[in-house]
Amino acid sequence: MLEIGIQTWNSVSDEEPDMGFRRLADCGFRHVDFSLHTYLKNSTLYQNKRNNFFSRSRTELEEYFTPHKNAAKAAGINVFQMHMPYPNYVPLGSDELNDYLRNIVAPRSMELCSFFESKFIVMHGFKLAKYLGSEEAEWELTEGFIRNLAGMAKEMGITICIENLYGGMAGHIVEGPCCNAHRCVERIDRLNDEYGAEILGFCFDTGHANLVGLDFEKFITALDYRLKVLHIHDNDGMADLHQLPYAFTRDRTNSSSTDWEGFIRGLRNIKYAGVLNFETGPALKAFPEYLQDDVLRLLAKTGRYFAGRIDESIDKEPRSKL
Amino acid sequence: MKIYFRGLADIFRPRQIFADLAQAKISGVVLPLGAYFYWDVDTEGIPRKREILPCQMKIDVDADYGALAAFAEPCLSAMQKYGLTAEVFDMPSLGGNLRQVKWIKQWGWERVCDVLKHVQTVVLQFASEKGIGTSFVYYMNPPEMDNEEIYAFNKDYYVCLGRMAADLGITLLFTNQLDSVGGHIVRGSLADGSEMAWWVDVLNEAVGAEVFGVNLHTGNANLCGQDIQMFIREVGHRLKAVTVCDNDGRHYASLLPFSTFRRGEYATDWLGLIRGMRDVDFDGSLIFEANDTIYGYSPLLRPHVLQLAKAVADYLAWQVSLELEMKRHDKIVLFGAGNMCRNYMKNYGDKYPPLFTCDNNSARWGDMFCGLEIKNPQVLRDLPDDVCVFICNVYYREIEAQLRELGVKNIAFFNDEYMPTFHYDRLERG
Repeated sequence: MLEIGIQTWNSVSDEEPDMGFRRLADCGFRHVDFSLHTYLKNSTLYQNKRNNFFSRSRTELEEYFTPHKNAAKAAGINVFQMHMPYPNYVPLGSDELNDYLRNIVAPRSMELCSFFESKFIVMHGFKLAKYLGSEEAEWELTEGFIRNLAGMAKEMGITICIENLYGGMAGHIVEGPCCNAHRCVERIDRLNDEYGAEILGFCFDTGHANLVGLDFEKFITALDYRLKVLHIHDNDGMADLHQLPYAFTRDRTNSSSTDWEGFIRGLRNIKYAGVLNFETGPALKAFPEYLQDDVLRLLAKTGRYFAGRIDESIDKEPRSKL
Repeated sequence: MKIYFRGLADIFRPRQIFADLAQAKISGVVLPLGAYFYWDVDTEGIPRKREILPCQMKIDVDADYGALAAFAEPCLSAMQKYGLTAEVFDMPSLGGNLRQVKWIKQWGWERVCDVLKHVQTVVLQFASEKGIGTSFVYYMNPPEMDNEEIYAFNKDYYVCLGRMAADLGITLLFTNQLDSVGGHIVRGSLADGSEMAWWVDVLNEAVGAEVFGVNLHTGNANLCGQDIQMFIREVGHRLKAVTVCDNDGRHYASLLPFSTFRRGEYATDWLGLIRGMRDVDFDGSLIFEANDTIYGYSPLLRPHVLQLAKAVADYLAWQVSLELEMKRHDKIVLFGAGNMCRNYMKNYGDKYPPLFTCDNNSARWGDMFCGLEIKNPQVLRDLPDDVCVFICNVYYREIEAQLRELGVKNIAFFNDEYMPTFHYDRLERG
């Protein structure tokens, strides 16, 4: 049966990583998605600013994260995947900032991924289609960024995972980079063939997909084995809320307004063998601390439910008569 | 490029709206033949009329052609009276996810399908005789079929319909569709550009003729936050029509373009739409669905709204055709040496290089600007007839008058509101 993971954001603190990892293990998680992006926040970058966290040397960063690594091991938790800081390019940002992201932050992130013995790191593609005039032109720059890391990826045995993203227009969510499965498949295959290794894969984000009405089953099925990691979370179809699956309905049938059945079918179609990873840090914040362990347990159980439905050890239940 | 308005005609009383359309100099309408056939259940349970649209008319589906002709006649004669044309028609269709439609479950898909096929056959024949050449069709998702069965069903159905359409000289356009998950609008059948392109090619190959094409519905695409430009690039030359419809991206509506503007941004990606249409040299039909805007106003104000609608339609058609206009001329001269000229040169200077530019500011004559010499407009008196002057300045009408006085014959307006790429730096004033 597939195993369950969750992002470390809002669960594991720098001050007491032991407590955080132990708590996640107690609540039923076997893996984590290490939230490296919290160390250089997007809100900072979009103001054309940065901190110096990633300016430290490789050794210094490894020393910084050694307590986290040890804590995860002690709790029996595996760092299955990581999330690079984002964005990787700030439109209208200074050259200095964008060079820093490309030449310092990204390589350091790769090194930390290797340090944590994780095989997958998620990165965000550039959001430049509107400026450059086409999605193809935008991908060209993203690909250049990936190529800058490809050698490291191959050497370290890491797969960089691009993720389906979104943008905004007058308060309305629209598709962003990597929302076309067929194009992603072509690009992943082309780069992997060129480098002779799986340097590129895909991270399917259910919440982002829901915001732009993607067909979950079709998208996942098209990706096939290129789908390496997941960001599982839910929203109301209007904002990126990162809440618990099944939390939202839109009509009086009270059926979920997110296509979880399509998600399950898609993963079953491709015989997905990765981790069912929840990107639900904000969901914990939505609940009072008194209930947070219960939230974590519910998430883990939801993961086990998904796993059981995917391998068909759990049947689809008839709707309750209540 | 042809412009049509869809969904405005009151089929029972078409004269008022047709008179208003004519007054606004709108000449193209989509003939609502779909409205003539309804689905109902008679006492024997035979599907005849659509439940959700109650209609007092009863139609004998066995005598369809005559009934259709009778009901269409008031609309057609009103169109003729007011000088309107219809080259596009709606026909009865069942699109989208049919699994939840109770009456289909009740009567059985086979029976519903037979009636639909019969009805569509009659409508195609009628439209062909009236010289109306394009209609819309939809990928159907019948109940109790898996994906492979659905594909096989649609292929058989539309190859059969396509062969008939080919004989009758009618083009059938598939539209990107919506679906719903628990009330949440999501992408439906053929929403993906590459999937749409593949599907149309499969059918055309099976029919042995280019009968099928694509109609992009901007409203549907916008509700799912789709990259409209990418969709258009993927369907390419198969794109024959664009149904232009605005909404806020969250709720279905049929609004006039540019209606949903909030915090300095449009909720519909007009930039992506125009870029995409230019990318594929689109020269097909623009079909405007703006019923909510037009009928949202009092009938007393409607004529004014229709005039605005016409202006918006013309504006969009002009924007889309901008590159086509540049392509038509081997020799181009610009008028203006400011930001618009610079945007022309940055975006089109290599592809459609101008010979030079002109400016009314004599202090700049002889200078170079963006690789062009700035000349005295008087040189345009000797301009050969095969050169087109593109005005790169917002004072279009004033400059056009000046150019006409100079004897310039070919004049076009350039515009930089929707450029292929953006450039951040603007010229400093002074």
